[in-house]
Amino acid sequence: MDADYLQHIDRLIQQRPVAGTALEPYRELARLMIQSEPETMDIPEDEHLEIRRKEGFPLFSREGLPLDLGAASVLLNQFFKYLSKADREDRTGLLEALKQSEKNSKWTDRLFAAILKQDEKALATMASQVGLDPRVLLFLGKTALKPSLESLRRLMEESIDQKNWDHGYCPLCGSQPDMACFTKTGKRQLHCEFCGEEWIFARIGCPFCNNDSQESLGYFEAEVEEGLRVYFCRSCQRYLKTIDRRVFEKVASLELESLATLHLDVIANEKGFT
Amino acid sequence: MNVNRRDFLKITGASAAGAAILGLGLDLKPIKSHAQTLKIRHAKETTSICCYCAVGCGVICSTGETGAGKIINIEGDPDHPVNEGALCAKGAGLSQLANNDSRITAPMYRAPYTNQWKKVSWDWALSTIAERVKKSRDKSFEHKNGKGQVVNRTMGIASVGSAALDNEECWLIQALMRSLGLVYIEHQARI
Repeated sequence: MDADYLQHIDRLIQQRPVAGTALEPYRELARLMIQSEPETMDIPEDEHLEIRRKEGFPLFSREGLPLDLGAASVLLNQFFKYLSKADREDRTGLLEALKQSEKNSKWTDRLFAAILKQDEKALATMASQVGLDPRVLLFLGKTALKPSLESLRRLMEESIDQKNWDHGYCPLCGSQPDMACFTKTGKRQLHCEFCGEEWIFARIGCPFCNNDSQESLGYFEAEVEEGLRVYFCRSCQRYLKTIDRRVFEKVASLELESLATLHLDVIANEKGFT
Repeated sequence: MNVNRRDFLKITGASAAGAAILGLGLDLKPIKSHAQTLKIRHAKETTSICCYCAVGCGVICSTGETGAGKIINIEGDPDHPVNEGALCAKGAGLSQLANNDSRITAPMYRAPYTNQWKKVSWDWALSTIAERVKKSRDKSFEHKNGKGQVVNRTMGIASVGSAALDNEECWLIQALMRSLGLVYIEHQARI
């Protein structure tokens, strides 16, 4: 994550004004993320790595990810500080979260643990204690972990067997995709919602439930937005936004594209997909 | 504040949009109003094989869910081992096979010494073809060649097969042609 990242944000806002709704407030978080310098953590030796890969296990379980939680914690506090200055309904909750976080480092540790373990009860309890919607804590916590996750991703780049990974979940951390793209050759590449890893997956088939019945799969698109599709599965009712790199030559990053296309999430939700 | 499992799956799964909207404190109104202005079309994708030649390239056909399942796009299937997403110029224009106002949907006949085509019925076309094949074959049939060897052949008719024919169709055609005595039996793919 570098200065180019901010330029990509600016370019997206300029090209697609609707993208600005999310990307303008996200820009400051991105600027803080760029300044964050997480340490590269030691990778625990895994003598079963080959077997794990062969059997379709990701390199790490989410709770076992070697991340610099200290750097993430500093970043999270900066997010709370910045966002609590904005005119938001949950301003008091953000200030309370900042107070908790500064007072007790274990509070942020607990928050990151809840996010990593996907422990909804713990997250809901913590959110309730500070008077925030749990999704606010989830989003900010996940965003604060991004620089450290990116550094881990770069470190593990060569350990991932991209060629033989044909699962719908991330080869690095096992999370699900939140966005996809078609490469220049038309292959489908998925983007991990948590760590940002990207991997090739079957062009036709649901990555969430492995349904490959063409009758129950489909997509919708806006007639004026060529190159942006929302693929859905009528079997599990999930959806996946997809951007076509053959149409959009300059795709900044799928993470930014995901934020730039929230209107498609709104439409998908209205159609009953989650 | 409570969050049930379904809500949690909603926010931690693919639809992390809800978390982003709340996390960034976004006003949903401009996003929703933009969404409302968009004309949305639904489609489904079906894998198939290009009908033109014997290479057998894989294609993905997108058909609209409205408008009687009309084909809206055909592209190479990137996961197909034969073509890995690539298509030749003819294959890339495959959708024109279905969506084409100029497509000929009935047999056409051009009589000798005219330059005009006219629509004819299948019954007339098939009977006329059979009659003329018989006539031509009988007229040109050779029982023996110049050396007096039995050949039972006709040099008056030639057959050109189509690349769109499958193996079994090709077998039937060559069996029929050989039974008529044809020796000029060719295939489009070799020309």
